[in-house]
Amino acid sequence: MKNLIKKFTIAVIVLSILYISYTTYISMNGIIIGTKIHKNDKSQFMIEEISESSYGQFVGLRQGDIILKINKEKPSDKHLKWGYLSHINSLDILRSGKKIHLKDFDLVTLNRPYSFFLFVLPLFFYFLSIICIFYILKVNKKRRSFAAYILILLLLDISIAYISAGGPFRGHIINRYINLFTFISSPILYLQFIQRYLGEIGKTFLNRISFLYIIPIFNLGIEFFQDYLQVDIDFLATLNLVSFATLTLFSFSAIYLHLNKYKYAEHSFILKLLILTNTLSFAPFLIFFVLPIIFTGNYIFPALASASLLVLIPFGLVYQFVANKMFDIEFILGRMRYYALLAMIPTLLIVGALVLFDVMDIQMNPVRQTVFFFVVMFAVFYFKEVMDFKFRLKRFSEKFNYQDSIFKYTQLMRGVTSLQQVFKELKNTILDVLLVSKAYTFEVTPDHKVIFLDKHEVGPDWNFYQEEFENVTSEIGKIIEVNQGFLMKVGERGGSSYVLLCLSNINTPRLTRDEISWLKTLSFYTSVSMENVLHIEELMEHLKDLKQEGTNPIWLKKLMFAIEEKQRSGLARDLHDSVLQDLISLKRQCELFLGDFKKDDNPCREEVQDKLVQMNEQMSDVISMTRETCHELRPQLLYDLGLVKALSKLVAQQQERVPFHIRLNTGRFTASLDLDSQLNLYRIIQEFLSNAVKHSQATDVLIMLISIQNKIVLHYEDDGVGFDQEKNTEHSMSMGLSGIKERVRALDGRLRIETSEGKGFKADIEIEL
Amino acid sequence: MKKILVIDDHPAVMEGTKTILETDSNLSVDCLSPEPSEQFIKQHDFSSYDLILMDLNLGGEVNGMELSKQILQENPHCKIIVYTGYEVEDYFEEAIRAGLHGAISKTESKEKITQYIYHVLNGEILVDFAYFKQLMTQQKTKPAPSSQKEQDVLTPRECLILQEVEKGFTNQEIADALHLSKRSIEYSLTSIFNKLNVGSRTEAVLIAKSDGVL
Repeated sequence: MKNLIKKFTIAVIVLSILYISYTTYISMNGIIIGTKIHKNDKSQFMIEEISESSYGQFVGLRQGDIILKINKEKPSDKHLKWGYLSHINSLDILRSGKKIHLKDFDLVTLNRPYSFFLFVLPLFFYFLSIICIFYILKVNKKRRSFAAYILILLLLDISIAYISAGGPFRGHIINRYINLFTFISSPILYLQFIQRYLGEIGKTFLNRISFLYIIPIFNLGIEFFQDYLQVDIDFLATLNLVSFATLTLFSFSAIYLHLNKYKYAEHSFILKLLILTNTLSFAPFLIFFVLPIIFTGNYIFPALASASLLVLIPFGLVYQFVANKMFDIEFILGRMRYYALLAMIPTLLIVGALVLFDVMDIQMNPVRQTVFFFVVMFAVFYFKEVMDFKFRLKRFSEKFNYQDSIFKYTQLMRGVTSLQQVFKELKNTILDVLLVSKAYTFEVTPDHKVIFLDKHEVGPDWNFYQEEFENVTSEIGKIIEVNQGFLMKVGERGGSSYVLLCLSNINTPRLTRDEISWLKTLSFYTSVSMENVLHIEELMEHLKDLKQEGTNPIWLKKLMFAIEEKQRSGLARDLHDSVLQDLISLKRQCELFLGDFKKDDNPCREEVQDKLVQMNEQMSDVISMTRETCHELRPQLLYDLGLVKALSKLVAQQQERVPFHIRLNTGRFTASLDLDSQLNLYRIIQEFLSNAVKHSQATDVLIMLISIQNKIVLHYEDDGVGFDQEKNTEHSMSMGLSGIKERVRALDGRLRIETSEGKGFKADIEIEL
Repeated sequence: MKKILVIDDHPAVMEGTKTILETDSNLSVDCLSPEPSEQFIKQHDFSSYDLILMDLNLGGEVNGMELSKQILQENPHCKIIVYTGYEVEDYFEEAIRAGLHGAISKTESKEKITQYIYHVLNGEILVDFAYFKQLMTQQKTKPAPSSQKEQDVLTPRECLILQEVEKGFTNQEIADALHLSKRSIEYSLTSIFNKLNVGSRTEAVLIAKSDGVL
């Protein structure tokens, strides 16, 4: 389908070029198509046939007229082209024996206004269309849009309709059909384009449009068979105009209704733009020509003049299509205001000149006029450029550009990870918006040495600006303007400053207020981003160092050895103080007993027995003490049977030696924890109890270990003296708590303590599972 | 002649036990030190022994209780006694649960150990009266949460009261808030304490939370 329409489009383009060449040739030679001249046997030039729409009819020629003189000369073959009259200024004819002088041939030879409306304007339109088509094809190479071809067809359709509407070739019968068809089908193509375009951006417009082609085909049919149907020519013209008006109004209302329906949709601006160009271009033609003709039979302005604004439609579409920009309508209007002001100047110039010419009676032919207007327009554009530059006239859009560029810049900053990237984006942003052509980054050290940072680029001669470099470093965002640009401080690290030097190839562009505040904002953003990037870099360095140290940093190893050594010495002291002393004493007793035993040849049996029993008991004591020490060091029961059992035993053991009553409730503890967590909880409870023994003076202690949903809660509560948390941070109770806090942290839990002097002590530990 | 196996990781203890037990001419004793390998169970035929004395802390990763369970899985008729230097009471319940024939302390006298062994060979175990009593009463006072009796379920009013208790209100404040008498609040709290088997307000609140009542 796409291939087919592509071929079709190209064929139409080629045909249009042929057609335009043909019509141009005719127009240039002023050939009156449709007025056939026959040289009869008496060597007389006679009008043999004259068609309905031929210009011959307009200028007053009738069939059967005999031409006596052409341009006041005797008619010869040089005045004929393909059997038609050409280059005619005046005619002397003989009609039914009467001599008639005809000299009003301006229309045919395209003199004065006719030339402009019938030839220059349509041709100009056509060339513009061709240029547009070229752009569309170029853009479409990437886009591969179906709508593009319809747009091309629409452009060709309108320009051919325009060209074929008037001119000496009007009399051509085929031309008449071409004009009729292209003219009436243009609104349909227009609708089709919009339908396709919206369809391609995923929006639905009207469904089937092709059936509308029935209307132009119907018109063609009537035109073709007008002789058989005996239709009045005026009626035919009105019918054609009505068809056109209907279709145009139909497309208007379709777009307008669609806009109304999707007022807030994202493509509404496209529709708004369409309506705008539509109204501007179709409205004059419709209001000043079509509708008056239909209703009154008279027009207000001639068709070709009022249709000249039709140019706007296709070019509106073309711009939108090529730019494919989501610009909003306000932006355009803002611009339009500016352009409207600007357009006043050439308008006044031209009108003034024309009035002057009229007064002084200076005649200008179209070519001269074209050259004149071209020069005026060119001068205006050039003038505008100079004005913009000289007075720093900002187009209305620039206001948006500042905001937009800062927004874009901050967006970019989110992604940067290195200093180079920050500078690169900053430079791009500044070069995009300001009239500077080069931007460089420098580092200024605390001793005012300037280092060029863009190593891979050729730097400017920055020695000129040494003084400025020194002055600019006082604060971030400071700007110093130099003869070809400006310097700006954008950030600092340590004592060094980062300075941006922007230069322009042309004269000094002085910075406006807006630009300065924009630049300052940019530099603040940059310095913040730079700081972040620098922090990240430092952090990365640090992480790299840590990684090099491996999983066991030296300090940790040292600490672990120290702890191990301390625990060992503690253990050794305990063993030395208890078990060892007991064993030594046992050994002494044994030795004494043995000594007695040897001395005494007749030992008393009972005495030996007593001694042995005594020693056995002592050994049992040593064993149980050793066992307790072992349990203290490593709660074997916890390893073998779990936390609940171990806690029961701990509480049972403690109960025997503490002065308060302990209540332990682990009945709702159902969680299964890993060994380390169990051990941590065990040690925490041990610590709570030892704190209670040492400080609390409590009479009742409650310990609850409980599962609540997916949490474990350890609740400790006593009715002891408590302490003031604020005051006694160095309190030994707090010291004991610090160990608990560390363990809670290791468990990734939360500790909440509730206590005050004389109010007991409560602690809640929550651990998420 | 009854064959006994002692599993321990201390050669001195094994030899000592062997010497003590073999003073009884009806007992013959073998000793075995376990290695922490999967093959250990399969390599030895435990079924030929009438009784096994099993140490708990077998060094390294080997746990006597686990080892016993594995042996019982292979030889369900084996009679195993926990033989430990730790306090026997701690392990007794767990041992019975695991299908072992109780536990005996390494520090017990020769007579007591042999006596215990003979009882086990007859399919009986010796339990200390005080311990047994404690075991029985514990069972009674600590019902499993799943088998809650119907009368132990909190009434809606009790739940409401507990909610107020959680906010830290006194009995009087709760009474005012719920338009009840202070006495009825006290009565309800007693009922709650009994049902939840707790001794304090905090305990009650925590238990209720755990049960999902609050």
